[in-house]
Amino acid sequence: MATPQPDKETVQKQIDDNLRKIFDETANQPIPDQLSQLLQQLREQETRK
Amino acid sequence: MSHPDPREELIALLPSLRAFAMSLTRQPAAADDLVQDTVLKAWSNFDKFQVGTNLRAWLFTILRNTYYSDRRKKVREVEDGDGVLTAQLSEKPAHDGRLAMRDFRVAFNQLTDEQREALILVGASGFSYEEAAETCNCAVGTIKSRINRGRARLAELMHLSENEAMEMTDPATMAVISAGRTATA
Repeated sequence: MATPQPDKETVQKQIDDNLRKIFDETANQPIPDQLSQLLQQLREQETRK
Repeated sequence: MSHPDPREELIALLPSLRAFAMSLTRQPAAADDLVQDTVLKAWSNFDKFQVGTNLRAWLFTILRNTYYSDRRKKVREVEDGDGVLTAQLSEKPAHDGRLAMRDFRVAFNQLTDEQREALILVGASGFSYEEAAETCNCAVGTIKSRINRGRARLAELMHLSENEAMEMTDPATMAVISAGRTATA
């Protein structure tokens, strides 16, 4: 017998696990400085209004 | 007013906005540009946001609309210039049958934009089908069928069993699968 094929549920679970890994890889990164600076500028403009 | 300031909430949502942007653009620099544009648009439109409604869906919608509108502008300029779609998959799945992450990423990047966003919204960011449909401005059934097709395509690209593993019930998915299969007993 060849290697048993994973069943549908296993495949779906593996796909979802990997989707989450792809997502978390970016989501767990610190916010880049450029973006933090932009937000700071926007907030400063807001308080000056 | 007991609702939190949406401007503060926006900051808390930045990591997931970046992750969503990355799944659409597939390139870090483009993803960061997209998030910046989204933040600027959101900021100048906060007066139109109804406090108490779903800020996450509202922001993801802005990001997505920005992406698709940019894509329409750029579609004639760039044609796979960055090699995103040209990377090769290994020929067989890893020995233990698990999906190798590198191969998965390559396969994921070959899906359509619509499939990637549906899979990421529901599969990874914890959106409900309804929330994803609202974000993508389409029917719940459309989201479901994009997810099914996306999963089927991933399994196909990863050389996983299509018979057992992809026992689809959705007619649209069935049509797609059988169209790609000419002689299966």
